[in-house]
Amino acid sequence: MTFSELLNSLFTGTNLAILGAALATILSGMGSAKGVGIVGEAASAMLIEDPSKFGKSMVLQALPGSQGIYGFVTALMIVIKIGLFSGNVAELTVAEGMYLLAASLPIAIVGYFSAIKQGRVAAAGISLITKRPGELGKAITSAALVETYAIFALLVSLLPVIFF
Amino acid sequence: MPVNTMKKLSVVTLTKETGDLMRALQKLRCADICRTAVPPSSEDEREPAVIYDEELAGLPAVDTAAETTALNAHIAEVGRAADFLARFETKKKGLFTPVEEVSFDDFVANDEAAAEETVREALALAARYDAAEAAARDTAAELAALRPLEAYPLAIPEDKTAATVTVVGTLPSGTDVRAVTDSLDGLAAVLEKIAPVDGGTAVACTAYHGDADETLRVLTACGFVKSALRAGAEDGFAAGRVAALEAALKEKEDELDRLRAEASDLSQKLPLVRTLADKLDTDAARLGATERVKRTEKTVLLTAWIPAAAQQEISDMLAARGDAYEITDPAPGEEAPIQLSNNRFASNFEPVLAMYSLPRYGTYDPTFVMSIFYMLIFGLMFADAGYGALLSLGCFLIIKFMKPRGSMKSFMMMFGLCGLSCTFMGILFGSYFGNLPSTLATTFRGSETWIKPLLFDPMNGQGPMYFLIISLVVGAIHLSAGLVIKMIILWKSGDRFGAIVDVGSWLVIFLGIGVYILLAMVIGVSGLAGIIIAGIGALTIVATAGRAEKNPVMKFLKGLLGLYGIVGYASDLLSYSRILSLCLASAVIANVVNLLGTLPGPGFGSVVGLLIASLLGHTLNMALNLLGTFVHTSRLQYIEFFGKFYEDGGRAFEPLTPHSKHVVFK
Repeated sequence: MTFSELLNSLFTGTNLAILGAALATILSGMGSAKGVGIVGEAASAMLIEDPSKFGKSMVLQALPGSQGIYGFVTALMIVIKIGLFSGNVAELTVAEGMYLLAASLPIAIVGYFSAIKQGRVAAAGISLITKRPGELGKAITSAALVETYAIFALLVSLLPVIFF
Repeated sequence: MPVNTMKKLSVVTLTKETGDLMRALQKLRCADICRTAVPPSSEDEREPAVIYDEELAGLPAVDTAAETTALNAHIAEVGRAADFLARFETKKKGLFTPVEEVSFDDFVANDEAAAEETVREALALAARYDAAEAAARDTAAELAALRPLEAYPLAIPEDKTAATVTVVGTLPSGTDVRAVTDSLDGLAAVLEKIAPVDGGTAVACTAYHGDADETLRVLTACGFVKSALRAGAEDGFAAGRVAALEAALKEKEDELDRLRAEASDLSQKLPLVRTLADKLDTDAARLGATERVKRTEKTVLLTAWIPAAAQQEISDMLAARGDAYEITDPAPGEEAPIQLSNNRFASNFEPVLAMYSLPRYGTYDPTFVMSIFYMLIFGLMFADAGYGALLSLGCFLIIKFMKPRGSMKSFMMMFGLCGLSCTFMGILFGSYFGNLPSTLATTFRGSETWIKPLLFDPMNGQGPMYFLIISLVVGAIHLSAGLVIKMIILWKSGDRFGAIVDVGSWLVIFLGIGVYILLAMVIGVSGLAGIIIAGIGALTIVATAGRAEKNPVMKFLKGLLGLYGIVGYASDLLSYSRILSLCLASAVIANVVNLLGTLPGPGFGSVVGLLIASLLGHTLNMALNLLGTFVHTSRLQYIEFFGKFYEDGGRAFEPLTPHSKHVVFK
């Protein structure tokens, strides 16, 4: 096998599409794991003082988790579209594979960064509800403002995949 | 909807009447006893709900410190008694048991003394129980330590004969007993292993009296610790002591069982104790409010906010008591607390408003308009008939059987109503737990499902585009509603010109854009009419946005700059594309769950697969997307809608009421 044959066999359209699905899951999942982790650490510090606030802290902690779900949703749409579940995986051209790979990038990249930033806002929200338990709504809203961009990224990732 | 009108109540009564007055007000549940303060120098420093009065603010407040301290100590006692009894409660309160209603006066008159007596009994019992438990623990520990030595035939820890002394103790684990024996070489001593014990090996060392001290020194250097246990000849040595301890432990456990039975009997009266706890918290709330009452030498002066609707009731009560009182309107610059009043439908959405911030006193309460858009947007974001029906069913069942109160009940009603909206949207867009009907049909019958979306499927063909358009149209209507409210507020405040040119012209622009889209893109004729309408709006803005400027050049430039506001509106509008995003996110996961469930193919495997996938997958999907939908529907209200007109910063009306945690006081 020559080197160019090796490259040809590695970079098939189908493989590129799978790479896209993998990136969407990996990056947004990493971001969400980090974001949820940041909030969890802050929440535990608060729960030392007042364990009854667990319900409130859990809502805040769950918020940065959505990017991971968005990445997962995009990945699932891609593998469904290439027929992985139906058993006969489509032979995509390299261009088609690149199309799906490119489509996965918005949620992969924006998901990664926005989940971490959202985690930091939600962690700050934890210190807000430590002192003022009644202000959970504001803490949630602040964190949700960050998520807007992940949602846009999801839309821009999903639409090309759905129309594929 | 405006917020409820508030009145300011001032009452003067004799010092000894303070308690009775406060009790009467607490019973009526409609007076928010407020702090009085010296008027601040600037308007900005004014706080909502504070009553400003130089004269009153200078007076000392009623001193309740001693009473509060005593009450708090008593509350802690009752709490301890309730916690103790709860440990032995045989009939646990079910999840669905509604909270009991109790008449406050009846309780104070008939049951309070009995409840106090129960608390005393419970505390005495708790002390006896704790002592018995500690004794049983000690006995059990001693027994556990002594049991390995049961066969040891001499006195513990020391047995002397005329010539020798035998000491029992422990060598730490890991010590080589033979090495210790070696180190005793040259001494008239014998080391004997008895048994392995917790933390080491029990050994007995016998030595002649002459060498005893030296032997003990060598042993101690090896880590030997003399046993702390006691079992002498009079006990019958270790075996006798073990038997005695076993008997004692049995006796103590029997005693504990008796105490448990007694506590279990007493726990029948736990509801009474809990009612007492609520009653005492009610007293504490009243004392807390009393701290805000001012006093002179012989009288007290109380100021409170009351809803105008409760004016008559309070006047009657005060007149009957013979107190001097006055009910006035809020002074200029004073902001009364906020009591929202909405119809039965919209009032369920009040907590959403409160989560953001209450409106300022005298401003517009948008709950009703918001609640309609809330249901609509929630339904679109989570458009699924299966999830929606489950949500409604769950919420309505909780209301029916658990009878939640206050904002919890409102939230349940709200989610129940939103669930209906999701169900309706789900039928429109053909989503029942995602694509479950078509998955079932293709898997088990190999055919198409007969359940078709009434409108279109947002997951297929041009569906996403159509759904995006619907999302943006809903957004445009939502934003316009916000602008219309702003226009009405400005108009009513007297700034009619501002209402028309600053807000109205934007509405004209949007109308123009709407007409253009309708004509040019949907119908396919010339959209000139729309452009003309939008142009009129835009020209109005350019002509008027700079009207505060004197210089005509600046006037024009500021006018042009006013048009830049279109960027803000465009980004607001695009924000509504999240409706499509979240709808797709929940639908895709639901479809995948169905797909995974039916992977085994037609037959029994798919039945099991679908059951498992539904229980895990659909539950998880529903939980995750409910949170997302709730958060983002709220966000669209808070940022995009409220941003157009809302004046926040009100303080909630918090009347002095009986405290209800375990029971509801009537």
